[in-house]
Amino acid sequence: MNIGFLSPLFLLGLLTIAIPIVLHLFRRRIDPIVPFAATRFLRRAPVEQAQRRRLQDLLLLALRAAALALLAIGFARPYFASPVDASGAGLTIVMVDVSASMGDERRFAEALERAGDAIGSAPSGDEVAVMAFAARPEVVVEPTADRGAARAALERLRPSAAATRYRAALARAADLARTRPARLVMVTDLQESGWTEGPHVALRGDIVLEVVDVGPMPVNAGITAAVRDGNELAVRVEGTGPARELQVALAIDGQPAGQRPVKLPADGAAEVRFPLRAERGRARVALAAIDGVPADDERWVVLDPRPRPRAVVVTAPGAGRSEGLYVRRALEAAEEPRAWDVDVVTADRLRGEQPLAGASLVVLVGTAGMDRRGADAVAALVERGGGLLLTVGPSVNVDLVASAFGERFPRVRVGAAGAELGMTPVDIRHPIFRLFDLEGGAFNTARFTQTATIALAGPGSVLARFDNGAPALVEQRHGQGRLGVFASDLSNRWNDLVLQPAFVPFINEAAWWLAGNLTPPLELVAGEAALPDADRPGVVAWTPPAGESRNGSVAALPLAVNVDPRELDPDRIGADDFASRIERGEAEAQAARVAHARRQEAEQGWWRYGLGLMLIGLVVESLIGRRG
Amino acid sequence: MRVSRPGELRFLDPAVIARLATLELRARTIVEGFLSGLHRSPLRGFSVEFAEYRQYFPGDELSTIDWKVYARTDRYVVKKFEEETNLKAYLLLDVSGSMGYGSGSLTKLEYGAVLAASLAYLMQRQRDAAGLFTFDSEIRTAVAPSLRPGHLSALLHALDAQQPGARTDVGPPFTRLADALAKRGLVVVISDLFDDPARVIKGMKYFRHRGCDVIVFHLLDTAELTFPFDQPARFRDMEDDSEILMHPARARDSYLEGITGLIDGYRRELGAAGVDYQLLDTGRPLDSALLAYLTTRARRQ
Repeated sequence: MNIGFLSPLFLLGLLTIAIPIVLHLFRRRIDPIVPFAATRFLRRAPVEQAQRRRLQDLLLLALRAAALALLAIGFARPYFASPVDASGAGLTIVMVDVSASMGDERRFAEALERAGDAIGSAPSGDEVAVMAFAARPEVVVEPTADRGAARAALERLRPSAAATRYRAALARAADLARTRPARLVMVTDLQESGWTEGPHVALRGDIVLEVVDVGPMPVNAGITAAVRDGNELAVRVEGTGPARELQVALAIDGQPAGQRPVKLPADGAAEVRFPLRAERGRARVALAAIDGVPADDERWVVLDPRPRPRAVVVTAPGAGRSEGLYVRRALEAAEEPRAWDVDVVTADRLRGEQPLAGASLVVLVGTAGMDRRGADAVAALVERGGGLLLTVGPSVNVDLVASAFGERFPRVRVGAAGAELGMTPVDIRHPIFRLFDLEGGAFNTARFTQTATIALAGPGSVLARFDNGAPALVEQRHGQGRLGVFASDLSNRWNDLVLQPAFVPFINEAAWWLAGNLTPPLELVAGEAALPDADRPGVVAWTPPAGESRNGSVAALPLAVNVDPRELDPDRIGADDFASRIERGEAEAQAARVAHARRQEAEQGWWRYGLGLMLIGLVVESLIGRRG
Repeated sequence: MRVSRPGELRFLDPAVIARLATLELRARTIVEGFLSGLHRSPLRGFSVEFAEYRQYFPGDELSTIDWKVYARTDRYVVKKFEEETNLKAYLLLDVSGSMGYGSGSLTKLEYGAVLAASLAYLMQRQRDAAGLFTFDSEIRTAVAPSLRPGHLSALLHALDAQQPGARTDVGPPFTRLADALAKRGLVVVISDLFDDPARVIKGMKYFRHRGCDVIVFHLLDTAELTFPFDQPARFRDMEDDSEILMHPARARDSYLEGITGLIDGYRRELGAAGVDYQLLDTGRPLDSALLAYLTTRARRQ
């Protein structure tokens, strides 16, 4: 077992041990010398005293030196390298794709067979681990020399309803490999959509990656959408393979409610509609015939009317109808299931949390007349998971709001009117902007004549910028919620954004994004929500965080869980292309070693014991020194 | 014979004495101040004593040397036909290294020198012949008793020149002095008595056997009596330079027990031997010492 240090430079601190040693050596003459005549009467126990003092000095020296050594070693963050890593034994990690696209029974059995082959081909002496991955990776067998256990674990694997996420799986495998020689065998259908989301992934250059392709998705048809449209339920069916007619059945609360045929074109999509008589209930639409991917053959819809989230638009009293009008109208324009209940509250009435009861979102258009209580109420709402959109307009006191949020609130300085500027999103993949067709320049037509300068004072991100590069919209997390600061007004004074076609969807997307933690999603994706039974299609109960609800009481909301429609995408990538999407190199190897060392150090936490011992030593030193 | 006026005590205060320039001035100040506080004069006349031979000491008049004895024995012996004085007093001042200690304004040696000078001055006023002998492990200075003019000045100069010497060892010097002293003289020992008590007491008894009255002024510094130290320190012996590293708080009890035992032992043993024992704290005035002398002097009459 080797000892390692996360920050070995701190070991230079061991040199400070010389300080007490040198002091000890010079201290021999530090005791004052008192010439005395009657020393004969001090000689009754002088030898004992001197010896005791010498022993005491040595003990003090040892304690002080030990304290300095422990301090230096503690800062160097020591850890013991685990025996597994020290042994240098290889590791074969067999990764089996259990996403919904692997649901074909025959193909999944083939995948398991290939995985078994990978276990059998692991070099003698290597350990084997088994990982199942879809939306989340799960290590079903930790590194072991027992290959029988690994094979047995394979037999227990079943395809799930979750989507493929390669990045998360590879990151977990790299983490599992730590610093050991490793071979990754990934058994998958190489679905391209599996690369869409997930963390950045990098593998050490010396990790061997083998991609075992189980072949393309078999001919498949699935339901990719089911939406209530007035008194009808619109169902979208997509499929691969030749044109054919399929039967789609509807059941509400478990009772059959009709069956309709749909003509599916070759490699295309079709829609079928069911009349709805029920206002409430849990609807399930399903293909009559099970095909290649069983998980996408059904889809669930909750027919119950959704409680609308409440948005409060705060305006300055006496500012006129135009202030806040545009924001209110834009939020009210949203249709079910994304509609808002919008209230306009003048700032002088916002003197506590009562006006914000049940609200998920606050849009500050004016703050004149608002005092610290109002600002604190807004901050408390965001802390609990709500959203705040602060527009820096002519009647907004940013400092008042900032004082309630603390030092991390963005620094805002209102500038003078200047040249007309346009606005451009920084990342079109951000949820606020991904709806917009940027080729048409949704925001380019808006003209800003006066803006504020925003500087982030803590973790956050710039979502949009003006033409001059200054931030136009920033977002920041605060507690459980989010706040956004828009560097101009939304009252048609300093800009004409509110008159642009992009304004209504922009304000709605921003509202849903900022208030997302207190606003229920429209539906859940199987395998991605941390809720019981949310790993397969169906209906689950969703509760807002911290019991936040419209009326202040906990209200569970039924939400449909469905397969990610992207999982039905048959597009694949080649094995080489797959491998090329993974960053490799010594930097990753070093990063892996560092990460491994950090993990070991964090698990062992020897520095705590060291510092504890140091404190005990100093206490003992103090006691001995005082008695001496 | 009591000191009656406290205002005059200031001349006996060691701190005041330390500020006086010369030993003679110190002695005169002390004695005059002391005497002015007494109710009655101690000066009395007394009868002549017998003649004797004794060893010659520097200061003796050459005419008193018995040249016949010198011719026979090759030794200088003083032939005393008659007493020139009322009393011969021998001031034996310890000048060993330990006498160099002092926690206050005066060391024990300085205090002892002032005491010796004061006694000499007082003796001169009484027409007593005072001699001075300083010693550590041997006799360092010898000034024979005399009433000659200028004798007091010579004695004071001798006192003024004293420096702390080697270890205390009263055996050899006391033996030698006892042989040389006049019978029935007055021996005044001024010492911290940091020697083997048995040897010290034996020496005193020897003086007593010679018929001398003996007064012992046991000088101890205030710090030696109370041991006021509280910080860890290395205590260096003033006679052999050995060091003892210790924490005073832990040794105080045993030290005080030891020093008290020494004092009690001297007081008891010397008292039994007919020796006047007077413990003097060098931080306190000299009046008790002068009173002790006068008491002993009066008892001889």
